[in-house]
Amino acid sequence: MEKVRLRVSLNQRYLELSKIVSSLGIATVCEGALCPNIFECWGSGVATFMIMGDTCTRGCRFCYVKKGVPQPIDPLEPYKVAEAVKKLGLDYVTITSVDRDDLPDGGAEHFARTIRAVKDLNPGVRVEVLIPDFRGDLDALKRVVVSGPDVLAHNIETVRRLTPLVRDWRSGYDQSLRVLRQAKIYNPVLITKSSILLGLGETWEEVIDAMRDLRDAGVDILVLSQYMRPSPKQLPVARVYKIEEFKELEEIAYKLGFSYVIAHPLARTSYKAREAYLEAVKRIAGHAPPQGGF
Amino acid sequence: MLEEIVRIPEELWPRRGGWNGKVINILKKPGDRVSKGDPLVEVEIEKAVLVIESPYDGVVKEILVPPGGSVSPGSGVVKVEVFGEG
Repeated sequence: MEKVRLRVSLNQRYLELSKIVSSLGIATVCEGALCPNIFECWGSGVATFMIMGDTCTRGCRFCYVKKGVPQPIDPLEPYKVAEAVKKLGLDYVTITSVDRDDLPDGGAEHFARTIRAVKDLNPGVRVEVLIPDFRGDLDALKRVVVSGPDVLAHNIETVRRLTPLVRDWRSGYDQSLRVLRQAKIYNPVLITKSSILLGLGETWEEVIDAMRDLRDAGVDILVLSQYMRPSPKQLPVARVYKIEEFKELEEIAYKLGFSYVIAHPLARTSYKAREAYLEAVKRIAGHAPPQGGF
Repeated sequence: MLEEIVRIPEELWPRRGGWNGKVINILKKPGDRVSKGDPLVEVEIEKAVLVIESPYDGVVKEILVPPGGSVSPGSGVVKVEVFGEG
């Protein structure tokens, strides 16, 4: 199976960003998940912060983020993230986290504090969060929604049938859909987003069913990408999708009613997040027809 | 003449060290001229093939890890005789 080729080009902005996040002690999912887009994103001064440490309590079988017993929460982390956003001069920030099943609220309050701190220190900044499912705790979810993110992402990751194989046993396909649906109920103008990794063994029809389920949950932005096995410990790649297949799925997704679709082998949830948000806002307002993205 | 070693950058996924890979292709041979930014080495990791660029202008002096050899962040792969200033 032919692998994707990545040109390793580390420019000055990449190295500066690396210094800033290291000196502030903030983890990034770009590093934690060996993201293939790190050269492009960091090279243009953009990173996705990963709060609440670098160790996840869940054992999803597609993910390279460290698993185990996590570190205690750093109460100053919200301010460190806010400071990093300021130092990097970002007007759009993406924040995700590890899962923290060890915490009573799954880390929802820490998420909310981080969103508020970033917005307080950086007036006008847009904040996109990629959140865990908080084990379906809708009060925890509400805390995050009312703290004022501009985009709330939560990934179903795969189709219904493969969810028990691909994701940790505490995750659930319907639980994730409930999180996305409820977020819209808490704030109907909140833009929501979700990702599906392709190539884990799903059928074409199952992908379309999953897209339909996401639309039924009110999701605005869809990301479709190719699963790339990070190490022999994760699930093997069952299939590599052709670029034309991504295009076809993108067209189907637009017909299903998504406001914006990113369908590309290397796309990841936070990839070109600012552009996706701006396009989605325009289309929701009815100012621009859907056209090929990415 | 100043000699420099082209390494697998440690700044690549900087705080997620533990990965390793296999050199699958050296794109220049000893004696070849190389410019800064030229693709020089291809390294296969589980997730992808990394194309490592030359950080120097110069002449390839020695291949330190031949195709098939294993590498990790910081590993030196190619020795380059670097052109001097002016």
